[in-house]
Amino acid sequence: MARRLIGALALSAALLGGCVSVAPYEREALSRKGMDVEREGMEMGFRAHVHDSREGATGGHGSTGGGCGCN
Amino acid sequence: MARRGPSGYDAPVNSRLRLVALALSTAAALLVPARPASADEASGTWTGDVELRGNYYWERSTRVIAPAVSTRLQAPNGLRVNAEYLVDAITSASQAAGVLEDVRFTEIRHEGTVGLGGEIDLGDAQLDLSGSFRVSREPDYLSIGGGLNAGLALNDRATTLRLGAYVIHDEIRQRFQAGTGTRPDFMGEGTSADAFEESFNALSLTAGIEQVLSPVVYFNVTYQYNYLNGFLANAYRRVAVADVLRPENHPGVRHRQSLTGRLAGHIRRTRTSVHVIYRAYWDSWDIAAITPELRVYQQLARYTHLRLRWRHYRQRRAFFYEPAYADDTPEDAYVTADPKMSTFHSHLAGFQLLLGMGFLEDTALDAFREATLDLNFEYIWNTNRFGNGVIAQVGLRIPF
Repeated sequence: MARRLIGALALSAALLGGCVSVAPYEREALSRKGMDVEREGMEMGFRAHVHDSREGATGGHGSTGGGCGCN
Repeated sequence: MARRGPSGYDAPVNSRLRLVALALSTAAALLVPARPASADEASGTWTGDVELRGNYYWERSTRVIAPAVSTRLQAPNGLRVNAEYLVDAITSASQAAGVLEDVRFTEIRHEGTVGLGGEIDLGDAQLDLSGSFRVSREPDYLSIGGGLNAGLALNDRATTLRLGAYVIHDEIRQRFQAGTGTRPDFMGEGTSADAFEESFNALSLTAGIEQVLSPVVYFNVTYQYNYLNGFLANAYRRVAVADVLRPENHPGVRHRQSLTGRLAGHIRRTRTSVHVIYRAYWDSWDIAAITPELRVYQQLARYTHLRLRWRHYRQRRAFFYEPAYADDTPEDAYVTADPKMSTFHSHLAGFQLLLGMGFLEDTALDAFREATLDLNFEYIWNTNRFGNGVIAQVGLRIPF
């Protein structure tokens, strides 16, 4: 059910993307600290490492599930 | 974060930690510029940043202290270079028998990552290519990985398609358990005999799309597939079967898949950003998990931001996990004492305070006016044997 929901959302976003046109000069809000999550990469890396070593699931944050016995 | 058997490493660890701290301080002093560079293509100088981060994780039986330093550089021609170095000092009680014992040991892990990337302008589109290489080393574990990523930006960068591939080779040894280094029987299919020298290989494939939906909203979705083949159990953990301890025995192959979506929006009037994240995960060991997450970013003052985060995780057990195995469990049956193979759930709640250093402008410390300091604290309520935990981080990022 959850997979179908995310798939539907992804498909909707892809289709919607073709209909939406947002000029670069209109995207000032997308570069604000709360929207630019790339700056959190190093912080999230450690957190992902903790989650990978304590949960059966992985993925979605660049982790591959290997290393340090976290498989 | 692997659990290991007891060792007498505590004394040398203290001197190692001091050396590591000295190395990180020296590296930071060398990397942080005395004044900001006038970094642009016209001047031909490089731009970038240096990030120092202290990471801490605590739970009932494990403590992790992990200082890290990273730098990202961009050349005037657009070439990007990044490097990161991290040290894990893991202090843990032994769970080799699946039961907490009053024995503590400390283990050090070193991890280094380097990356290279750049963008190619294709006219109506931009192709971003990057590669990375990582080595992680512990006394009894070596992990080597490398990967390539490609991102194709379309529609004035409103749409980005991403593809990635990553390979891993891990080598597992057994140096702490009674010093035997001998592989017990029944440790999984495909394992070698006698000397404990196991390994596994992994391949990870990623595909994703990011789409700007409006001037204040974007959406992305990422699919990830992982294939692991080799020794996938813990080298030290033991499982009680009919009052006899036997080594963990996990299947030698695992197919893992996840689908993650994020919807992010910004409210201009209140200077608030909201991220709704959802991950669905499933694998060939019958584990299925969901992970909804909510993040709220609030600008409190000109240089101060607050982030609130809530995350829920819920999974069902692996097909071979049993709270207690029957006395007649066959010798070669898959058995595990790994709490993360069980059915459980957790909640995480926490905050981050992000402080900008803009108030240093036109002072003696003007060089640090674009730096940021972040303080993080998160608490995890966990229903399995790992128990509750705390993640705390402090980070200093200095652009130049």
